[in-house]
Amino acid sequence: MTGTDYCKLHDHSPDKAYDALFREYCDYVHAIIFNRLRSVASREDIEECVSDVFADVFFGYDAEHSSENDMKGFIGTVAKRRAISVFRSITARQNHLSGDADDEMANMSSDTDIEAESDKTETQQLLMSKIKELGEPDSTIILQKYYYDRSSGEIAELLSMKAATVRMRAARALDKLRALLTGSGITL
Amino acid sequence: MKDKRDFDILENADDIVLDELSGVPALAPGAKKRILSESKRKLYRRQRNAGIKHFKAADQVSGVERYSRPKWRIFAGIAACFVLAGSVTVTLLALNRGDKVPVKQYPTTPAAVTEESTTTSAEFSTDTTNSNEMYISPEMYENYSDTAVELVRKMHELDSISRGAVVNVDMEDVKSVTGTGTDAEIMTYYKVTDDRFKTMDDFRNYVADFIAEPYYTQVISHIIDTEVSSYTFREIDGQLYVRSYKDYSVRANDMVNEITGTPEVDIIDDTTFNFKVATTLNGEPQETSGIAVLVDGKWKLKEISTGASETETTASDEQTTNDPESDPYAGHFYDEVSQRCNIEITKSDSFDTDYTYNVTVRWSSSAFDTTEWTFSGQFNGRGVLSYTNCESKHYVTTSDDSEPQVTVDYSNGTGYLSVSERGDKTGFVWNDDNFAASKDCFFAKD
Repeated sequence: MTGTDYCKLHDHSPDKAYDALFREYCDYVHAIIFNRLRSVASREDIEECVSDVFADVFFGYDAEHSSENDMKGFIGTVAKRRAISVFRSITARQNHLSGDADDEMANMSSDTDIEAESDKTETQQLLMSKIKELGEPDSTIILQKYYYDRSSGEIAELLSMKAATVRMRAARALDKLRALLTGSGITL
Repeated sequence: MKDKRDFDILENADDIVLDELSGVPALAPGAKKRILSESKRKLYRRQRNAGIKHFKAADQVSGVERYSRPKWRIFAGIAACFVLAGSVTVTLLALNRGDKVPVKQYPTTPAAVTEESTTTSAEFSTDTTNSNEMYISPEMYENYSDTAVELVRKMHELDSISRGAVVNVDMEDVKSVTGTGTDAEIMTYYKVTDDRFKTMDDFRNYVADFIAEPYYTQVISHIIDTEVSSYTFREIDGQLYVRSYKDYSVRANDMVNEITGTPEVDIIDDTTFNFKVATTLNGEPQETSGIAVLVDGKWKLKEISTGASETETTASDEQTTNDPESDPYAGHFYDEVSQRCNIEITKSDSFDTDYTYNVTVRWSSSAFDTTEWTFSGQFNGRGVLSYTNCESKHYVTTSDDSEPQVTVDYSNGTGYLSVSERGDKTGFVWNDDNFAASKDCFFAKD
């Protein structure tokens, strides 16, 4: 959806514009937020953050400077900033509660290892490509179960399958993925 | 691969991986609905804090009571009028001209819509609302409000029609009918030439278009029920005729209904809402309340009633309308950044018709040096006022008692004024295309 499309729709009906924008970018925003907060926030926190992002976008999108460009870039930026903000807030609170000064110092002293970051990015992309090689619905099941930490029942409901089927496919897909990754010289 | 922790490697992924991850359906429909609802709630709260008010059903319910005091019902009243000869009439003039009932246009600006004084600031300031509540955006509320106005307007029109007014007739085609009972006199009927209805069935359909059963039967029986000898409409030789004004004693134009206020809407559920709106009958303040129901995708009246206004709403409404505190945009705002610039926003003289605000920005470089920008325009749904009519004047005073020298820097300047947030504060940002420093300003309520 372009900025112009959104503004036209908004002028006609703000609610429809919000709904359309949300429909199109909800999964994208959730992916960004979840990716950043996965290890520190609860599922509810993540949903809360996603709702904050859309509230930011709904409220803050400048119609006067809308463009023909896809709004994905704008929304992605808002989502990343919001995710970082929430991440800092949560980790700061956790650090405050733990009172572990040594951990804090260790975090402060850690510099970004560019080489390690580059390796990590390559590994991420390889992992994703191998997951895609599993084909559907196995790739979705694997990500749902091991990345999004969904239960077999939840995945079954989402994919309209039986929970037992999900469990069976997940186990088989995991073995297959492990083999694929080993073949590529990757061990997680 | 031991467990899900192995997938931690995907955290802090780059855009390519994020794109791929976003292709995985991660949220159930229920969760999406919940998140969207929450997003809108937050949006409305921000808009509300910014002066762009929002509405949610719970707030409106708390502020609007079911209209239950004793009152006469307009259209039950019509029936009584038919029975009591002389209580209702229609004018020949109205018949000839096909006059429409004068109905004031209902203003639909945020300011006009937001007279929900019964919604307390405490309700607005708390954020502990159950997420299952149905939140009503300003636009949705406006739609309900517009629907209420339209239904009341149609009912007023029917009120006039039921007295034979606002119906086009052929005055050359006259029929005389002898009444029965108390109306045993000879009654005169004119042939209806109105496009809206040429037969009784057309008229029934016209009424059924905005009145739901069982109220429909009640209303229609008073107008065309053949058991009532003094009914307004009559089919003669397969043609529709309306009773002449001469058979009535009150001029139709002496029974003028007008909508004078903004409806308060109480949304019960997806198919029902209550409303209450200030009206006048021959200039006398009234309150009209009703229930609208959704029938086959169309809003219709389930009931409607009008009674004398219990409060002096007209005066207080005017006071509210003119009170800057009650307006989402009007007021005085101070630039927190430069601390030498302020904005004054007022309603224009034509506000009631075009919702235009006048804006004056003053930047004082010193006690003797002031620049003033004046422009006007309307705020859109996102709280942005764009302008193309800005005039910038520079005032320089050489001494305390001298007249300032005025220089017009430019006219027809462009830019915009927009509702914005800074931290917890909500105010305005200003972007004048000819004055770059305007972008740095943030105007908070003075």
